[in-house]
Amino acid sequence: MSEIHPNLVAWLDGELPPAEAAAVANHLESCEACRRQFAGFRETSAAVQIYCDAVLAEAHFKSKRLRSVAAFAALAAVAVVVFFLAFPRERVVEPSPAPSAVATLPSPSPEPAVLVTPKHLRHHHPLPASPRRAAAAWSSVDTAVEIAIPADAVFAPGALPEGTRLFGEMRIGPDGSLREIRLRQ
Amino acid sequence: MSDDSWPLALPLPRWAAGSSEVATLYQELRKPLLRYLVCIGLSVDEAQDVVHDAFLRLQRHLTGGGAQDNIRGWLFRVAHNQARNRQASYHRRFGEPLKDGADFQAQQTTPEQSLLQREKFRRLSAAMRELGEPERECLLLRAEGLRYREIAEVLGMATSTVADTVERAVRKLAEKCNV
Repeated sequence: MSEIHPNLVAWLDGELPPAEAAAVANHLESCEACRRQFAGFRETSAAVQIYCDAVLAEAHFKSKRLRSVAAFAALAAVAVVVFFLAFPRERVVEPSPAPSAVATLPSPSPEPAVLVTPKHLRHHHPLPASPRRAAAAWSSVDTAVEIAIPADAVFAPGALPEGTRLFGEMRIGPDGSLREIRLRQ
Repeated sequence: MSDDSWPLALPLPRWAAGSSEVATLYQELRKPLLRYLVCIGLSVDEAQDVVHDAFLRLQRHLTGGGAQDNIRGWLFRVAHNQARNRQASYHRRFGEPLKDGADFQAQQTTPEQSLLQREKFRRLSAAMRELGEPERECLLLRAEGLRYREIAEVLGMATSTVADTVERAVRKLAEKCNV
């Protein structure tokens, strides 16, 4: 490589002063290796120009594709929002199971301990009539679920008097949606 | 591909419409500027912003009575400096490998030729990434038709340094790509 003329690229670019350019031209006439090298430089230079065009075309292609994807994503998001606005879905809340610890806790009060029924039998049994429930004017077709909750599960130990029990009452409509939820002592 | 059909042809900005000189320069140099900016790592959108901003500055420069010699070098320098300021992720984004399906050459005829061209450009792309930053920038500016004197002005180096850098870069590419 050392015998190759050092100014071939500058000569190719027309950047040499006339005297130096003439010297390079004379050298090329007599040097086969430099002629081959010069042809390679010229081809490489042309390839760089095509490379630049390709990079720009590729960048443009990516930009267009990115915009298309963004537009599609925005349309999909709008479609989802419209769908949920047009067809609102009623929320169904599963009642949380009462901790089994309630059944094993000793009851300090004279009242009988809360009976915790098996999970598959726990729901959808009508609550016994009480004045408070009557005041709520629940629909006869609704189903009431009552769950005993140990006070220690909700409040810090000692926050409530010992033996306090809480009851969660849920009213579930015929379509399975949660109509009302209460917490009572 | 003719210039009119070029997909990146930008509409003439309103500010350029008032000056026929700037409008002419815009039509002539927008694509070389875009290509250079994209090749050094800007996205198309960023490059378009930089080009618009560079021409806006040119408009102010000319309106303010600034020097009118070597406007092309002036524009490339402004665009290059703006690109530099935007390029927090310059090295990360530069030189993403070109897609195999990129339309490198419209004159490809046979699948064998197409394959050869793709391989050649894959090697060229890799070799371009291996070049030093000054070498790459000198080559890209040279590919846009800038003279060594203009490249020196854009990159802030001596003209003789540009000549040496270009010579070295072309030799490296030719050796690695065997083209």
